[in-house]
Amino acid sequence: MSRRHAAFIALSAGLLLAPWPGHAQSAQGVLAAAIRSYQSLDLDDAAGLLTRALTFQGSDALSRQNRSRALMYLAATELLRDHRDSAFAVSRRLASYEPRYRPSDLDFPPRTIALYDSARRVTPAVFAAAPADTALRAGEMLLVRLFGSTYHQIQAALMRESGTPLRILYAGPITDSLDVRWDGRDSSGATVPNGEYRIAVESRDAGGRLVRSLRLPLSISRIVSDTLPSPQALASAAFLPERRPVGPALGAFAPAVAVGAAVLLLPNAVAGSESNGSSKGRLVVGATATLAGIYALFRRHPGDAIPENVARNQVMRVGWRAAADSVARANIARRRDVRLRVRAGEPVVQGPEAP
Amino acid sequence: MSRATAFALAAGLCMAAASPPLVGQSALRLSAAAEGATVRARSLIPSGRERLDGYLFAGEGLLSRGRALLRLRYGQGRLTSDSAGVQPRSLTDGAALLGVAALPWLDFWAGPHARSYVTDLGNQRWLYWEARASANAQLVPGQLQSSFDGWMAVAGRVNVPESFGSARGAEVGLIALIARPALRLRLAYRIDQARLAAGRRETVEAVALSLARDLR
Repeated sequence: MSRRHAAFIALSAGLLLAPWPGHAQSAQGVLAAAIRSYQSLDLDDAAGLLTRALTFQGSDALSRQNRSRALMYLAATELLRDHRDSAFAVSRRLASYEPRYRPSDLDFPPRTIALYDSARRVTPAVFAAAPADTALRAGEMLLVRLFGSTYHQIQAALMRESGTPLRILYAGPITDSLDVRWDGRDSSGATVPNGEYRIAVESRDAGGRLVRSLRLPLSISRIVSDTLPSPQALASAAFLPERRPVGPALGAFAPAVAVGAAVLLLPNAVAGSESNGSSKGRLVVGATATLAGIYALFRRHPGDAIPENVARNQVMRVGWRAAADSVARANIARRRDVRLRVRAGEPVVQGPEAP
Repeated sequence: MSRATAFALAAGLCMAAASPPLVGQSALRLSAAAEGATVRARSLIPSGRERLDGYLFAGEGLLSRGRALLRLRYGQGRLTSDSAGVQPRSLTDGAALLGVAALPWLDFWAGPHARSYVTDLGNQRWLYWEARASANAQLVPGQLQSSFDGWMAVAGRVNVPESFGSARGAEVGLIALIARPALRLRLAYRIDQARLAAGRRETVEAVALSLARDLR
């Protein structure tokens, strides 16, 4: 490779790799520069910069509001450049893109505003705005606000993602704005299943021709409340005994039996062989002790119900049952309280006059 | 067991009695009882067997403070026999026992117990140094309880040529609180037997009914 070729390649690489001022500038910066050029009546530069600002795509693109401003400044610039047709076309494009847009008479001369208004009046378009995320309970409705560019006929319909119509939400005229409400049901009255849907708003001109269709994507899902845990079952240890135990009664009976047995056994235990001919009177003591033991046994009422314990246990059972029923009722209500979650996406314009 | 052992036992009871009282027993309490008993005495003597029946009337006092207990008893009675040639006897029985309430239901006692038989032919006196355990159990709280006593002589003396052998006895009974807490009715059966080293035996049984009253 000759020295001349090498210098050419190096120069070419330098030019290609050098930063380009135009690319480094943001769409917002280009718009600001364009407005300055417009205000200094450097109209050709303003038109070029505005056109360039509108070409930014993706994340670099202008916001909806600034895009509307750029279109309005472009229409004004074209009008000042005596390109009335172009100015009218840009105005229609703006009206179609953002039907809510109204130019400020502080920024634009009356002639420009008049041109824009005339373009807006012949450009039927609708913009839809809905809450980004809504949870609908039974009886509640999703509010979709429609903004019209001008008076015209529209039809708003709920559709599946596939395009199958489910329900006509509104059909009729729109002027400035209109609220459309949807209760989450289709035309048969059934709540729509989870899935992807859209509200399609079709704008028609005076001749009934479809001029624009706007799709508001809706993602439908259900929010089911968690159920409450049932109260823990009462442990048997928590209850008092409901019947008098036999043990204490036997414990009272045993000493009396011991006395009776001792009366019989003591002569032999103490006197041994001399126990023959022991007093029969001792049997009176033994019999009395046995009778006393039987009296003591039944005096303790073994196996009888203990009313106060029964009542206390009953209070505990009733309390537990009430708590369990309360939780069951709350869970029934929670299961019924299924809310429809509606997440609205960004509206998408389709149709012959889409911007 | 020697008399010294008996004294040592009594001294031990005194020391135990000086220990802290059981709950509710620190006040001085005194009760007195009167007893009537049918008595049967049987003697095994070298010349044969004798059986006598009779009665005994006795009085008893019980003093307690804290764990310390003192029991004094004295009774007199008369024993006769249907058999010919058996001399009737006058029976005198007395005891002075020092005790300690080890548990609410268990007492230990020690002290002298004397008994004499007086006949037309002479006078026979027995003296035991006895160690006794008393227990009671509730049958119906506040109404009925049972009692168990067991004792044995740790030393003894008798005024006969033969030397003292042994003595032991037991008593079981029922106590009814008929006027709570002042009046108690007690029905008891007791039996004891004393032996001389030469083989003579004196067995005394009694079925006793006593009425006790708390004096303070």
